[in-house]
Amino acid sequence: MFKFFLGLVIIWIGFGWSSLAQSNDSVVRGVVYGIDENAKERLIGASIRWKGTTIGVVTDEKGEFKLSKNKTSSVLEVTYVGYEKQEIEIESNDLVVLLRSENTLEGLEVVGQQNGILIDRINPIKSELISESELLKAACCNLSESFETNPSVDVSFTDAVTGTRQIQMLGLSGPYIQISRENMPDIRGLSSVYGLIYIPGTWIESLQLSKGTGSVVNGFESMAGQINVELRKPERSDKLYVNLYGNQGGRVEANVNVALPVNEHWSTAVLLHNKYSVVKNDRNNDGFLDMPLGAHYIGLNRWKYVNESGLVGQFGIKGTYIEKTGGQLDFDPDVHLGGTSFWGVTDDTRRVEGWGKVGKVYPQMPWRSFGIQINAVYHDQESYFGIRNYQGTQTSLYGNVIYHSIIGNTNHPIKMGASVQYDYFDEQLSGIGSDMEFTRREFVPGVFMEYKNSPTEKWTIIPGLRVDYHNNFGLFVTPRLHAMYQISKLTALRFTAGRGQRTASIIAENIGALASSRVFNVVQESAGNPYGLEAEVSWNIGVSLTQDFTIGDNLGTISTEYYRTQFQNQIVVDFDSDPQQITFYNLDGESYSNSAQIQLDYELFTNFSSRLGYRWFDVETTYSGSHLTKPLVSNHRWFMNLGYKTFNDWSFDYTLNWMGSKRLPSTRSNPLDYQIRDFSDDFMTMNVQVSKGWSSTFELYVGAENLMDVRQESPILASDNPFSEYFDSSLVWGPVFGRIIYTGIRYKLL
Amino acid sequence: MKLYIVTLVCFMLTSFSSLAQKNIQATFEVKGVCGMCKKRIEKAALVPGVKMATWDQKSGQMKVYFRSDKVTELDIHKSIANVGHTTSKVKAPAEAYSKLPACCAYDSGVNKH
Repeated sequence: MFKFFLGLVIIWIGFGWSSLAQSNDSVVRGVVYGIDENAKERLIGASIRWKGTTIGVVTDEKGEFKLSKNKTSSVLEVTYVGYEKQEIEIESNDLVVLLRSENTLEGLEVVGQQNGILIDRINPIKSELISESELLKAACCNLSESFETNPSVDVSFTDAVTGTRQIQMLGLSGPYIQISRENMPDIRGLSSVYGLIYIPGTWIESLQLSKGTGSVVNGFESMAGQINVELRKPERSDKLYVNLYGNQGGRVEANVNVALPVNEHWSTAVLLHNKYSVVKNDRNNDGFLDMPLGAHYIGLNRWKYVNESGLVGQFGIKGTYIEKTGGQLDFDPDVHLGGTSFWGVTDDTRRVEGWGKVGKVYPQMPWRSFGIQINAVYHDQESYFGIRNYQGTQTSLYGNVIYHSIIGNTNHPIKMGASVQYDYFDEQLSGIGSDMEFTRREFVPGVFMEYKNSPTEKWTIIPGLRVDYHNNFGLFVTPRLHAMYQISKLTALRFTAGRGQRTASIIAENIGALASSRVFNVVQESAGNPYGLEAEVSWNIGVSLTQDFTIGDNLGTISTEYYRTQFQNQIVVDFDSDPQQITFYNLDGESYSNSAQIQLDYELFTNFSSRLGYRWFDVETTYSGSHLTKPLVSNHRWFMNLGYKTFNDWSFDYTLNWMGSKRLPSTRSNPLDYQIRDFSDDFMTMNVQVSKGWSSTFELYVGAENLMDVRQESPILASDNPFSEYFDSSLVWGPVFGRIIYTGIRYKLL
Repeated sequence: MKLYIVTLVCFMLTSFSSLAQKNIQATFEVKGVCGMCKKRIEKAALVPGVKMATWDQKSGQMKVYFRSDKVTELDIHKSIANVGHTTSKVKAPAEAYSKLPACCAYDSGVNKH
């Protein structure tokens, strides 16, 4: 394996050098972003002109531009109303221009363009912006499938019957990542695993991903990192966007987005998603469907209001309806549900969300603004896993008031505010030895303050503090610190440290384990607390070094990072002590995750981008006194992504992933036939995609996931006897389905 | 819990009291040429009482927001002039001007860059 990668690296370096020999391209291409305190957005219609000439262009609907090089000038002037002008000395053919809003205090910078993933250079919090062009590299389909081209996020299956993907960051599972929609809480509680499929890929304008604990402004729950999803905005989306998708496995999808300006103050957008899985597949001949059948209906309507006095409002509602059926081939839910003739799984989820955001800026005091965020969720889920029934409802309300101002002058910006989070959960689990009902009411008001300062030109620090009061766990203080040391224009060193606290939703977060005969067992120690357990508390520290470089005309970035998360308390999920049980208890001993990553992004030649990454995990927990590596986490991962785009709109993408071996939960006390190995195989998957666009309105794509058809053989333990105590479909470490060929179209009306 | 509410109330009060301040905005010209000048000028303008200072490199226009009860516009001009940059009201002392790096010497024919 190592040799193979060494080979790739050599080929890759070879490409790099050969590209040095190429002559300068005569065209400058780039993308222009506008940034303010809250957002980074592509600017449509920004003007780009060679300084001292009248030769220029404006950016297109994606904020991109193309301009022939000029003999008399090598300086580009980039302007846009409401943003500060930027002049750039051209040293490369590909540019990313950041214009800062006249209303903000941030610095500005030009950075090189290599890939759809950008590391925000001015933010002391290391934040990767995953843009639309990056998301299009994997044509599919929802948030859980949007990380295929990113080495920072690992994706695996929860079990071999529901087809649910879960994500991992820093070796910690999805629920430890705070996932927000436009900086408001979204995927948490009962939706912490399934929720990733409630966000269709075509709705996403961009993702911001950062590791470690984030800003205190967005709450106290983040432990391993944050993923913030920016959905398509009414004021700058295509009038109509249609995406149709179909794959070999019998999955078809239709996505339709519509955006309309209503009048000079209001604009609106409607986003619709529909998915059907209609074909029964059992490629591994274990008698179980490899992926469930079913349908998703998800719709969203949002509104934006802007007026001249600096008032901005955004409002949205979203509805989600999911139904799916899986399990044994002959399972028919109308006949067999809850019985023991055929093992089957069903899920019916209904979810409604509504939110509002109102912001006010003060034209006479540009450093001051005031914002209110309100979010409400109702979630209702009913599932059967064989004879096991799980029902849960969640009602959540969230409010956050943020006030931006300064202390003395604009070198000392400060954000402060107050938030409140209310949750009511009611969960029932019955069948297979456990009949339990858990209800919990959580009420957490809190205040926060975050300060930003640059004590010297090279240092920027952001200390933040929250104080919250939880009705069960009492008062707690959440300190967080981010710092950046700008060693040179091209080199930045960043530090992060902070605390996170959350209440584990133990069943929903381990929902894959329901697809087994394991008895759910909770060691309740503190009556009155959620599940009789304590809150999870962790401390995270991280350091990262980002180095930009150029070889010839081509830009590259190399970044290395190390993070450690140490749990003060964790709800340990124990698959190991007994293969017929899954046991939850408060941590007694040590639990930590160490994570290191090195990533190289480099444009081998014009429009040919490459990304090479390696990451290492060491995740260990104390399970009833014994110190073990966390199961189903691979310690090593290699990653490569290559992308090439021609000037006539052909795109080619290739992703290679190598996952190291994972420790599997112990099954040694089972009869010999129902034992599995102690460690999984390592495996390699490849994804490819080709797309062709015509006149920026129509695009056709064809691709293959898992091109080499790599599969975990017999992913379901005791598939011959699903009602026995040995049945377990949650021991999944590799791909279940194998190769999937897909195709689809995108149509835009600008 | 009591402490908590008290903290919250104090916090709100400080926020709102600051809303009542009187801020004045003024715009004037400052001589300078480059990004280095911009940093120096803006830093010098932030004397106590000045909230925000933005100098536009191309037009040479300085936009300041300040509290009239704490500082006068002339104080800001003086502070900028003292680091070597002549403003529309105050000429930079020769000694301060001579300390500027060669690339910032706006009176000796250095073009904006």
